[in-house]
Amino acid sequence: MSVHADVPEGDVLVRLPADLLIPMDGAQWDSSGDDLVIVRHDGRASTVQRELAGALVAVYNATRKVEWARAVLPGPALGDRADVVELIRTLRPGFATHGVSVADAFVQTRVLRWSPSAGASAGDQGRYLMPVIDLINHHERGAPWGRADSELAINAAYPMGGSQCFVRYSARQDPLDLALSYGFAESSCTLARSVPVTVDVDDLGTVEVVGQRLQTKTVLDPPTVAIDDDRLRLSHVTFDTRHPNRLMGMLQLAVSAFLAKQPRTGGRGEAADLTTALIGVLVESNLDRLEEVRLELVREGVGGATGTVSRAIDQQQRLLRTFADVGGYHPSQRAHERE
Amino acid sequence: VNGDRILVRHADVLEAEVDGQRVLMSPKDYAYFGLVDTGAIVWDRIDGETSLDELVVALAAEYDTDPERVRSDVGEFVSALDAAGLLAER
Repeated sequence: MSVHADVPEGDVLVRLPADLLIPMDGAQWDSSGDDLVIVRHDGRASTVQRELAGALVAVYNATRKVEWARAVLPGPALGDRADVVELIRTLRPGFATHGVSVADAFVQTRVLRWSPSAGASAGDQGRYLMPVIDLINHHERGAPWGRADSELAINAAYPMGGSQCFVRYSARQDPLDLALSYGFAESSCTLARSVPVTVDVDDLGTVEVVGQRLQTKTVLDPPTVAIDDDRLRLSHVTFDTRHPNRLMGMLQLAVSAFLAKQPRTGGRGEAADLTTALIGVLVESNLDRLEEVRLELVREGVGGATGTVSRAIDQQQRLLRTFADVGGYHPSQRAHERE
Repeated sequence: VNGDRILVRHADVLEAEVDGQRVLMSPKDYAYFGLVDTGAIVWDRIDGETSLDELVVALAAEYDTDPERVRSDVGEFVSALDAAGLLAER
């Protein structure tokens, strides 16, 4: 499905009043064969919202979404493949398949966390289905979610150059995030998050990237930093191909703090060199780890969920190489992945 | 925040400019702390010799702003610096 328009870029494409958003927190969905069915509406849903939910279900069923989710959406599709799930978890520790029905997993790909009240905290946001807007596909440079008074507003964005409109489902997601969450391998991503990896850098020591997923409030995407006697631990590292210097600046502070705990070394100039070496070996280690998993997944076949994830890994590797080239980060002899 | 307090930066705070944004790193827990707008102005004037009251008076005069509002904003910022471990006792 896709949406095409001739609205000038940047002008409002859709304004959806809050009372047309379909509340989902109390709803219950299931599948019957290859059809999605609403077992129970959210108690707050109005008659109009229930009718809109029924219309969306009709669209989902006409386009065989349950069948697609069962085969391609990694959560439900890999639920009985513990070996593959464990393999993917080496890249994304939070990847989970248990306890989620195909219906819930599919509906989760369509909901927006939102609040009619501007400035509401994340905890006060509810989950909503979005009539009409639901049909717009994702693109990294698509329109962000907007707000006009208490309405959900989407501006027209044509990042592919034609008449197809795109929206950005979620900021700062990489190809693996999108593949695991939404079931598609996306080529428009501009950043890649590091997989869990531990490396050694001469004159610095051991650095571990845990690979957590944190909701960052700033574009600098600061990791949580912990320093033990012999180890620098970073919650996450993001390789942003458009802003490679951000990672350098943020990691250099962490490396400087780590060096300050080690009297044998020091000096900001050295911190810069060591940070460059560190980023280079992190890129290389990510490429190696991703390739190991990609080869395992390709053995499973190029279709279905494993095919989607392996194509996402391919995109992830492309982004890492771009990041290294743009930023001039290449592994040096002083750094290597820890066995 | 006590107006007589002499504001002193913690000696081990790390500072960098990252992609045009000023960032501090706390020596307490290695948390990043972004400096924007008035926060950056206040941080630049923390010299280990100026009291909070003196800072408020200077900023209110320089920016032609109500001193009580400046006191509130600066006090809030100083509390955040304290919580982040970015200030030291004199």
